[in-house]
Amino acid sequence: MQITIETLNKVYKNGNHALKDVSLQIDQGMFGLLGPNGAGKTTLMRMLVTLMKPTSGLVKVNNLDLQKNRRDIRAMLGYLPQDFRFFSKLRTWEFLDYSAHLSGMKNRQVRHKAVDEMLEQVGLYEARDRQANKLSGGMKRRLGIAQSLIGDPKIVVVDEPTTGLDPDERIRFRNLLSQMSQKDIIIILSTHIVGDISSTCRNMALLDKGKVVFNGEPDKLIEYARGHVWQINASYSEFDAIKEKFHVISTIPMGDGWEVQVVADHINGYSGKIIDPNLEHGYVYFIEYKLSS
Amino acid sequence: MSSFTIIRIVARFEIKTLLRSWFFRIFSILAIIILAFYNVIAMTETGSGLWIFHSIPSSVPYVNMLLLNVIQAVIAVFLASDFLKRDSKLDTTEVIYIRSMTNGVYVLGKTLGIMIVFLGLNFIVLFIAGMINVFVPDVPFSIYPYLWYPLLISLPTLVFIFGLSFLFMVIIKNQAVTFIVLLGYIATTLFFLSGKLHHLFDYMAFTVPLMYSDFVGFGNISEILIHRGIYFFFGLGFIFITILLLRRLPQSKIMTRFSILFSILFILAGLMLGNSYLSRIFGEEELRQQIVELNNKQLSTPLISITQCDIDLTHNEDKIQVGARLILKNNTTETINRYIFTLNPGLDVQSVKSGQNELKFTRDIHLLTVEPVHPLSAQSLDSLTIKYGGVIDERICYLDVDETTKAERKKSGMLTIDKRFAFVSPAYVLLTPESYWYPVAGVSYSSDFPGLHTQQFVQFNLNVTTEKDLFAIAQGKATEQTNGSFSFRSEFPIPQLSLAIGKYEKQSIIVDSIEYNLFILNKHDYFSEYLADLGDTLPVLIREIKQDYERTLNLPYVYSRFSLVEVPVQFTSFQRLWTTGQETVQPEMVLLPEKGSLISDADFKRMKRSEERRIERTNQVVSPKEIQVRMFFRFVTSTFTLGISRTRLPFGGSGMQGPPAISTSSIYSIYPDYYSYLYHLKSDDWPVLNMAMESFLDKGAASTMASMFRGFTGLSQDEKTNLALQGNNLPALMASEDDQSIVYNAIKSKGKSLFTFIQSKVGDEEFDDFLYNMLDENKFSEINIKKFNERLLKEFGFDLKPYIEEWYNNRELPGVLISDINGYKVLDEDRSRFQVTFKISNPEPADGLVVVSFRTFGGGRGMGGGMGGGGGLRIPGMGFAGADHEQIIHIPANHTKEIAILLDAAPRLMSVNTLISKNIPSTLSNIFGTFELDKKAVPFESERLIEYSPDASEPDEIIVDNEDSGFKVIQSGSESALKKLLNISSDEDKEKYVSFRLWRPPLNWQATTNSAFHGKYIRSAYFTKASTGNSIAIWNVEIIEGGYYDVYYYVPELRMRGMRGRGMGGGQGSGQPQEEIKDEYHFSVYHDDGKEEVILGLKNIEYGWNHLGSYYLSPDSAKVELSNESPGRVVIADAVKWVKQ
Repeated sequence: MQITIETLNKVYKNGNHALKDVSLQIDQGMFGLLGPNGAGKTTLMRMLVTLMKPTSGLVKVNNLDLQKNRRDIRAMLGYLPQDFRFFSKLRTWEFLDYSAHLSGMKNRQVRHKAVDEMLEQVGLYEARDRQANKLSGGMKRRLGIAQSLIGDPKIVVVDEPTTGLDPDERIRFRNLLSQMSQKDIIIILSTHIVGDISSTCRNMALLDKGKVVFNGEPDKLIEYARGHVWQINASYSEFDAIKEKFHVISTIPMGDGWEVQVVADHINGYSGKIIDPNLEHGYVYFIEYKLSS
Repeated sequence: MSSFTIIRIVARFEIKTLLRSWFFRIFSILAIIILAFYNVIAMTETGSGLWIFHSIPSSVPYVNMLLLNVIQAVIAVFLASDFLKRDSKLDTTEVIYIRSMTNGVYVLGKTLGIMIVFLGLNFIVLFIAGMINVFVPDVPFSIYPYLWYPLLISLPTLVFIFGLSFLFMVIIKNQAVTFIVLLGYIATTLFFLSGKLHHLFDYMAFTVPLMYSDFVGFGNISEILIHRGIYFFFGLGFIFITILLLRRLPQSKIMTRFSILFSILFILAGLMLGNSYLSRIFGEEELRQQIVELNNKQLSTPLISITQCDIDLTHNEDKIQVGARLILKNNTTETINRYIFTLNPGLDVQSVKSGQNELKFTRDIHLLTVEPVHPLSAQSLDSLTIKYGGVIDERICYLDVDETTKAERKKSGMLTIDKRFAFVSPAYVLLTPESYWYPVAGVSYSSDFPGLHTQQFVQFNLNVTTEKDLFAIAQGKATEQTNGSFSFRSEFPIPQLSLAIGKYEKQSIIVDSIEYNLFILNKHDYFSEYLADLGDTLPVLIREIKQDYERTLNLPYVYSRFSLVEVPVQFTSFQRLWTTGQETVQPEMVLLPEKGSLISDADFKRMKRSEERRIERTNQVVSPKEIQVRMFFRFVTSTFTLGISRTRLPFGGSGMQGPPAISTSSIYSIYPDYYSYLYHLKSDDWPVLNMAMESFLDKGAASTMASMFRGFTGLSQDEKTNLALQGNNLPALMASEDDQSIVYNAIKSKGKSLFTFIQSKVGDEEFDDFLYNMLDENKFSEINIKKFNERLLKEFGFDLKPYIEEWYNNRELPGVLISDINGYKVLDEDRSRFQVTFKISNPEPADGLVVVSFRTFGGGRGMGGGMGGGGGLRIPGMGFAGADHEQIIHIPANHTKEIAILLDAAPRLMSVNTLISKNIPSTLSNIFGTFELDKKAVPFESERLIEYSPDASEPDEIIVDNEDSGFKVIQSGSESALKKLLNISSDEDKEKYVSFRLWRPPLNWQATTNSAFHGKYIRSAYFTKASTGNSIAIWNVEIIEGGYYDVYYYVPELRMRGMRGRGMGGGQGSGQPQEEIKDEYHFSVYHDDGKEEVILGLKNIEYGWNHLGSYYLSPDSAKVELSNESPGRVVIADAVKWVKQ
């Protein structure tokens, strides 16, 4: 499975250029999409799931043009949108059954078995007869994930899937996606939660203002921050000034002040030590220093 | 997956979602419960049962479908727009949208789902109705209507409203706005547009004629299918447009092209059907115009007379094949070169022969012009054989009836019945003369001479061949009635022939050598069980009713048989200008709607129940047989002899309670069998004279019943006629008046007055002898008006001709004023009698005729004496019901008479019916108080002309009435914006005067009449709902001489039933205690120093002139304004008076 995106552009009627010459190649496995709000992640994903038409450019899935082969490509898709609610009046299993049915599972017995298995996988089997719109926030999210995965889709696009999930659920979800990604499948994960990508994706892209500003392995992004992540022990009086001068990643209260992690080229005037960067540091450093330079 | 599978999947989940919607559940449960309850009430004795439910099997499913359809149309809008709202607002839909399916299958799946749910509801409602229908006794059941109605009513409605809702939703993208717009559309089509253009806009089929007959099924199935097809295809078209406009990237170009193609095809199909529908309407109008124009052209062609017509008719499926042998006579004084006949345009003429000679003929729509071998000289005979065949084109029928009247909804309750004038179908045939199924000499209706009607008396012989299981009925003696072959030979020359063929059963009884037949459809004998005990009494009853009626008419029944023939409920007839009879009554035959469904008194079950209740209330002991006698008597007299139709109101009201019952002579009155089909007063110049004489002799009819209902309609039919006659003569009225009932009534009223006038000139008994002798001598032949006048001149020295001319051409109307009414007791030898004197004036330049009636209340009240007739009254039908004394008074133009009448009992009420006059109300009433004894008075009776001027008014007095030019109203403009937009006006908006009503007064000033109002001939006032002062009535006056003036306002004393305890507004009703009246009127009186606001409180007020104040007025125009501001319910503007001090 391979998705090739070539110079993709989206200009809205109000002139807003949501995507600018986006080119990517996405191979089998999990692919992370990272970027600040308004970077164009959702626009890109909506295009990939045939909900939106690009202004220009080309998207190919296994050499099939997305615009010309919607029938075939839709048959490969699973999608979880960001703001996902449910048809009222449908039970959990009914909704999943509907999705499975639409994804092409005609045989009733096979479909019901798949539905039950999927409910087990997302931990919703006990709630199978509850009305979908009466599930808790996390359960709804899990049901959303389930409906996107049912029917053995070849491309799964998930937008902020772990929002609202507790840590256990997030871990379970990550594991589920990782497990799925072992098959011949592309999973595109868009998220604000950098940790989700670092722990699951082999490749990723960073979008900013509609452009792909980084495309590669997460480690490469992390490398950008190496030598630029500082840990400073700051007194209470220094803390406010540090916040003003540097991009603070984390603050931990200590007995006599704060232990602050910042991303910066220099910390002149303050004493601190360089620490190993993670993807979050890499993301912040790339956005704040690499891009602006 | 195939498209069909996906459609099924989407539909299945849509059904699940909808069925779990509380909104839909509540609606469905309510609909099911309410309709089940309604069915129980309507079909059982609990709610007295609707007669139409008991008589026509299709009524139950029909009414259920109509009611459900109106409600589901509203709910469907909401639910249909709701699903698109769900789709557009939530990302949830996106997880469905990314699935591999085309937009088409998705929308179609959704539509199918919602459609299945609604059709399921339809099925449940119909199933429950059907179960009640099957298990309730006396309510006939037929399965076909249960299958037809959902397809014809619900399916197209749902497809259309779903399509429209989807389309609006994808365009507007706002559910609330879509819902409001579509609700507005539904309300507009239901309340304002449903009746326009033959129900074209009625997508819910609420007014589309869908009554299903046991005889013929639907009245016009092709028209119904076209109508329903329009909405079905538009709905499908909208659904496919929705597919195109759906906010989802299309998946398949083929599907997109397919959707474009189908939306175009379906919209085109809808448009084509709409065009076809309109073409039928306008095509019919155009054809009818062409026919009338052809008639106009041939009007002056000399008319051949048909003396004998032998018809051989073969009925084959929906066609007839006819051979007609005609014996013709030239009764004119000139040679006739070509014969002109009228024959239904749907019938193709194959050959015309005279002996063995083929004759040349031309066919121009309905006209058949034949060139004889030799021109036919005066008084010579000829014979022709015409072979023709085909279908019957009903468009030729009732050319004299305007399109609006023809298009009026024929309904029973909320059910609409098609109007059919002839039937030729494989299992049923009904042909009356109106369909011109046999050649008739000359032309039919001509707009150049609307009153013209040729009546020829013809010896008819008819042979009919039809299917073996069908039975034929026609006039004349049946000489053969077996195996599909029937022969009829008429014993007299009759003016017309009719034919019915169907699966008839015959019941028969012979009384006094007359054969009384009843022809009904198989299994339609619903009445025998209610009349089972009559047995030997039946002949006696028939004899008595016949003799009573003949005594009233003073005319005999001359036919050998009388048949009641059940015909499809759709069969319709209209009033004509040249006869009181309609097509429902034929020589020796009456055509009754199936199971008497449109006749209230044919509901024997209800009649029996009400009779039993009445007996129980009054503690009488009456045998079941006596009850049956009463029922039979009531049915026969009210339907056939009384001349008043008692149409029962829907939903349990009695026929005497409201406007629908205001009547019009019964259309089943058999009077035409006593006059119209036996006699004909022929006049080339004044053809309406025959109708005049017919009306005069129709002493069974009671036109004044209508005046009892003027409270409902504002004006009685007679008063409307008088208004129409103001400044108009008969020919002008016939040419200009759109409302044919007004013209009909004018001819009848004027006709009665003409012959009453002759009667008053030559003497009652003398004229009766003269007239009935003349009729007896001219049975089944024409009476020429010249001959009539010559005999009148010879026997009485009275020349009618100048009077006829004046009667026909005069545009003036008399006006009647009554004054100086006195009543006192006098001693006449040794007994007390009651003297009434009064002056009656007619200041107008046309002679007047009035009927003065007194009611003493000494005898029985009610209708027992006949509707204004009976009791030895001299002009039955002109006085009020139950009058104890009546007198006709002729008042010459510009004269006053002093009248003295002596009565044996004290009268309580004197009523003066001014007949044809300027007076509105046309009946003036006076209630008498106590009659004091005047010992010196000498009893006398007199009627003498005196010198008297009724117009004499006070010298220093100026009165401005609301009828005067100085009066005007300024409206608030509170008219519905929608009404304005659609240019819609109710019937009431079109009327000059409306009924006075306190319970729902008009928002704008409207004129109304009542004898309590001020006025010379027209006693009227304007009234409006009390409001905030946003509209005013203004009385303007030209002051000639300056000085101080007293200003008065006229407060009328309205005596209206039901006023007690209500906010009276005007407070002018004596029904409400004065102390309860809180109303006040706000006047602005304009004078030299400006204007003064005057408030006139109505509590404890004196009726009549009330003083508003004294003001100095210079020679100029002055005025008084009355605002609509009042704490009461209504404000009445009548008259203002200025009196110089």
